[in-house]
Amino acid sequence: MRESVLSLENLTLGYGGKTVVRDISFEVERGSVVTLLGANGEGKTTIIRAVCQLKIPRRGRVCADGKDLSQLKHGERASLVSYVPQSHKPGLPLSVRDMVVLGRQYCRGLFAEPSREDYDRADRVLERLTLGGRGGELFTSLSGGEQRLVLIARALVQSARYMVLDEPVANLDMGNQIRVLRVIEELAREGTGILMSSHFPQHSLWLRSRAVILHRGGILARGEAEDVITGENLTRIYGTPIAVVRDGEGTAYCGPRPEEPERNTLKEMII
Amino acid sequence: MTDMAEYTSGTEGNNMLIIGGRGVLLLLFLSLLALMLGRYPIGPSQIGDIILSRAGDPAPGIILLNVRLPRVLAALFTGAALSGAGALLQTVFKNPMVSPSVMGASSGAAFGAALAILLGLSPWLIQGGAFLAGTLAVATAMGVASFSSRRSRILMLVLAGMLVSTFFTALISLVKFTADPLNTLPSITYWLMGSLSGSEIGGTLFTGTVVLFCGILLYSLRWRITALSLDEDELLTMGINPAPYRYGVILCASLMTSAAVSQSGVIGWVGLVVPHLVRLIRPEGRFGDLFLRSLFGGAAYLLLIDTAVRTLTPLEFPLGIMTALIGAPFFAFVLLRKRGGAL
Repeated sequence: MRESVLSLENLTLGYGGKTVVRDISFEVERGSVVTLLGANGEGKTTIIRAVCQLKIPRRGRVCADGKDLSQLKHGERASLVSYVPQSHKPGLPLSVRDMVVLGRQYCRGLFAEPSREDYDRADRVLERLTLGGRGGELFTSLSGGEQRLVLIARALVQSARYMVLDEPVANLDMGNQIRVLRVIEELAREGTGILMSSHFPQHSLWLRSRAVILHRGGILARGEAEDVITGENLTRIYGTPIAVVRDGEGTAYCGPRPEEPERNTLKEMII
Repeated sequence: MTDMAEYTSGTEGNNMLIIGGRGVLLLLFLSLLALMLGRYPIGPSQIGDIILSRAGDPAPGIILLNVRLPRVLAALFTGAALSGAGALLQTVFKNPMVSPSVMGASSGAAFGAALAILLGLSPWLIQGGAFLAGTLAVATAMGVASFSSRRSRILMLVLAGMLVSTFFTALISLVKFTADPLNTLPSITYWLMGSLSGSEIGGTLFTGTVVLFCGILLYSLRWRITALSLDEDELLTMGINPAPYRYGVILCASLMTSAAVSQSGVIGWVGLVVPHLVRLIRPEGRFGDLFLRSLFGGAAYLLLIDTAVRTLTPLEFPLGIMTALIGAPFFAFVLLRKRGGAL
């Protein structure tokens, strides 16, 4: 048990008769980024949900700063770990500012309305996330990338020590992907511990994060992204040849190679 | 335009005063109009005389205070209750098609009243029975839903409400089947069609008290209710356990509905039409504003329809028929204007 870490201890997670991950442990230090990589169905989202106490583990526990999260009240938990969902189903037509101040509800009374201070804080956070002056617009009128930034802003005003993001760049164009990654990088530099799932191994390399690679219900590799994100590991988890290449400046890119042999078998099958 | 500026400024005190002030003025104006209109027209000067108790002829005073005033108040309270409950439930269930009757409050209350009429009880007991049975129906639906898993609970609440509704509707048919077809059955049938013609001041004040109490409580909880419109997962990680609020708020809406139905019988469509109209005109409103506008709008809407019903037709046309006849095409218009069913 250690201070300043979010630790997943011997987690076993599953649904019904199916075990998704078995006995996995890793830590997220404050001020660092940990990326969860793995193919679809390997349990990235399940792990994220377990960390946020939305999924009860079969075995194991999750601790933040040495406190078992399952033993805490909702409000205490919210002050330790915040969560950015992959998507938001719109309910009421909320303005961007109102959406963000809802992140402060847990420290307000039952009958209280958001205070001036809450709105000021929301405005500052929106300013930082390049959404200054957009607070009055309807959340639903923003683009997908901007909506994601607003959800991050809402998690930010929670002032939690760790932030957990479920595929924060999913469905975003390349420009918005970088916009979101910059924010994540900056948050980590300021001392927030970040756990995110991703389908983009190269982002993990760009962030100089640590990576945890999930495969067949366990951890295939973990460590500095530079060390564990290799063509070999990626080829193994995605089941298709993947190359990690570097340009002249040393920036890494990951991508699949088209698989000739399989196409041939397909042709043969058709014939 | 000015409203949008207030909205973005983040202070909502002004909004409440503006909506509240306009709402009260509108309702005062409409009420005064409704008090004067009718088969026996009463002029403004006569109303002044009656208030100052210096009228020579007692008839206008009796009509005004014993007949029209309770009826106008009943229309205001019933309309506000149904429309406010509709706005609230649509928000909490994240479903634009939900109406106050969905949790079983309407059919429960209707059964309570039908049973009381069958047993030949007094008007007070009819209203009391309706209110109790309506609340009981909702409590049953909640009890059934509480056995479901956490993730499907919202859907289960709606389904359980529908089940309870169906059950009580069958019980109503049973009561009608056993009722005396010469006098009890017509009065049950008439009551079920919904009308404000028999409103008495005592019952009206009871309904008014429930509606005011629940309305104020729900308005004070507006930010928690705003939060309830988010996903359960989001709420839990934001430090709010939604379950107790959701149950409390639904119970409150159901008390309002039961009080309204116990007063007026089953009046449909108000809880669906008015909140949607409010959203069509003011799509950017916060929950607090939507709720306030729905309360005032519902009160005005039902008062207008009831006044039209009793002045334009020589016979007392049941109100529930009118709200459905006007409500259904009107709702189609609102839906088409919105081009879709988003909340």
